[in-house]
Parts: sequence; structure tokens; C-alpha cells
Amino acid sequence: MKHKMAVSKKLILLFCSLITVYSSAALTADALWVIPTFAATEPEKKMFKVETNFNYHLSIPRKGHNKVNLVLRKYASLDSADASFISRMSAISSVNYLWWLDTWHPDSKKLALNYYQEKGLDQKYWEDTWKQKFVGRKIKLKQKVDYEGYIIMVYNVSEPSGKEGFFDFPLVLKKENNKWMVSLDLRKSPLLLYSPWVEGIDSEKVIYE
Amino acid sequence: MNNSVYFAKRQNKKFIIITTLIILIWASIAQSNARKYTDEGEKSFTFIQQFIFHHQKYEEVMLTDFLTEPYDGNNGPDRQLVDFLSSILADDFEWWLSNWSVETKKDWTAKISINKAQRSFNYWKARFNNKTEAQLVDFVVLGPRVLIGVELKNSSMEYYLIAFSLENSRWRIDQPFMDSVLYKTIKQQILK
Repeated sequence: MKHKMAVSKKLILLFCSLITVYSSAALTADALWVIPTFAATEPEKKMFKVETNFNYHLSIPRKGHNKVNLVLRKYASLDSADASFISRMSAISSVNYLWWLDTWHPDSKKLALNYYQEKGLDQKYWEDTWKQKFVGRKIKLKQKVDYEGYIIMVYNVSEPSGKEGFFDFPLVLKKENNKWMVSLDLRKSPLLLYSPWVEGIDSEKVIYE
Repeated sequence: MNNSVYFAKRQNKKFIIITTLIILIWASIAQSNARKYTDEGEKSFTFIQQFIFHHQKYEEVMLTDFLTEPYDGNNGPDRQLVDFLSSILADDFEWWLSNWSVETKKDWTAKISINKAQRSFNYWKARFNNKTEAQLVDFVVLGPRVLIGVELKNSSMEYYLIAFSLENSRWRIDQPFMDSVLYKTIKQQILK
């Protein structure tokens, strides 16, 4: 008898705690993190969409043209997007910090250097990184994207084994005074963020709540 | 006469040679690019942002009790709006300025040559004084922001949707957000 009562008591307790958990979950789902302090109606959930369209032109290097052949600085130029891309990769692969600085667009260089300074990413950091991640690796050009005056060169740096790297990287170039220079202008653009050319996607939906 | 015809012909020949060379160089560059790349053509990418927000309407709330000095605390975004309007009534520029976000103040500091902050203060003083009736209308929660709709009644009625975001546990007015496309879109949605 005593045992039966103990079991019933346990069941009632379990039932009550389930109700408590359920109602507190329901309350959390409905409650907003901030509420008005003057009299107002109940919150109504609403939704709207913003669609932004990006048109770009895609080119893919033919077989035999996708391997990046590095050059010495004296043979490098910034005359075309292709040449600038090779200059940038050559500067990095030859661990030439000053050459690397010269491949930046002045506005973006200022922005980048300020940011790097804040984060403590100095010349030594970059040289060490390049030695670890670039020197002796194969660099492959995967795609060339033409978007509103910018050229985005999409490239891949191999693993030490020679196997293709897991990520493809974009390098954005912008033309000014007949020179193609590295730009950060598109750093916040969803086009660059989602890089649709990598997976061949034509749209991306993000829900903000 | 013969000499001038001779020179004209020579010039013409030179022009033809130079033009042909330019065309050849251009064609060879175009051809080398065409050889290097396969043209995949024009592509399109659509970025769809779906925003979910919560909308509440204030129930005939007229603001009548204003502060005489700044309140440094977090009593909610609508109380911060009261603090903001109070600073205008008090004609206290520093108090008024303390209501804005760091990003807003940074932008105004960059625009010091056009005295942006003072001009903005004057703008608000022209719209709100002790004869203005202020009625709260909308309370909108959009992600980390709260937008408060307020009607200011002078000789005519004007509606303002003021965006607040939290900064070190204080509600601050976010002008860069109020300059964004997203803000304009949600304002249209609220006014529908």
C-alpha cells in the first residue's frame, strides 16, 4: 500500500513537472526579448522579403591554362587582371612583402593595414603564413568572374601533398589608372560571400528573426 | 602639287599600316583570352533575405512626462525615446548626443566640417518643442533592433520611425541603420 502511494506520488510529481516544462517552453516561444513599457497590443508576427539580384559573367580557364606560372618581379605587371593575379600570387609565393603591398589598391591597402594592425598581423605574421601555406604549393586558377567593373579571380592552393586544397579563394581586382589592383570593395557583398560560381547556385535564401 | 599628293599618299599608307597593326594586336589579345578561357556567359544570382519581425501598436499613448536630466540606465527603448525627446526640450546638446550610437557619432565626427551633429540637433529642435504633442504608435522588434514609431503633432503631423539598438546595455539611436535600404523597406511595411 505504502509502495503504491509512493509510486502515485512520483507520477503526480512527474506529471506536474512535465506541465511546468511544457508551459515554460510555450511561454519562451511566444515571449519577445524586449517589450514596450507603455500599453500596447499583443505582438503580431510579420514577414517581408528583400531580393537583390547580381549579374556576372563567368569564364573558366581551359585545360592547360589553369596552372598559375609564377614570375619574377621584373617580369610582373598590373596591366591586366590576369597579370595582376599572377603578380599577387608570385609576391606571396616568393615571400616578398613589399611587392605584395604594391599589388593593393591604395584605398583597400589602407583599410587592410589598419585592420591587420588592430589584429596584430604584422609583416612577420604574413611572411610566416605564406611560408607555411603558399611556398612550394601548386596554385590553380579555377574561375574568372566579371562583375560591374571588378574581376574576381577564383583560385585554389594545393595541400603539401599536391592534392587540391579544400577551399577556393577569391581575389577581387579593380582597375584604376590602367592598373588592376587588389580591392576589398566587395568584402561585404553577398555575391562574394556566397560565391555562387563555386557550387553553381543561382539563389540563396537567408531568414533573419 | 605632285609632292603634296605623294606625301598625302604616304600619310594614308602609314595610317592604314598603324590601324592594321592595332587591329592585329587587339585580335591577338582577344584570341589569346579566348584560347585561355571558356566563356560560360552571363549568370545571375539572387540573394533573398526574409525578415521576420514582431509588430505591436501602442494604445493611444501620449507622452507627457519628460525628464529634466539624463537617465543613465536601461528602462527599455521607448523610455529611451522619452529621454531623447526630453534632451531636446532641455535644449541640451550633450545630453541629446548621448542618445546616439557610437557608429552614428563616429560618422558625425567625420562630417565635422559640415557640422552634421549640430545640424541634426537643430533639425530635431525644429520638430519638437513644449507645444508638440508626441504620440507613440509602433513598437517593432527586428532581430537585435527595436524600431519605435512616434507621431509629432505641430501644425501638421509627422511620423518618425526611430531605430534603437543595444550598446553596452543602453539603448542608442542607430542612424547608419536608418540610412539603409532595409530600414526603408521595413518602414514601408509598417506604414502599409
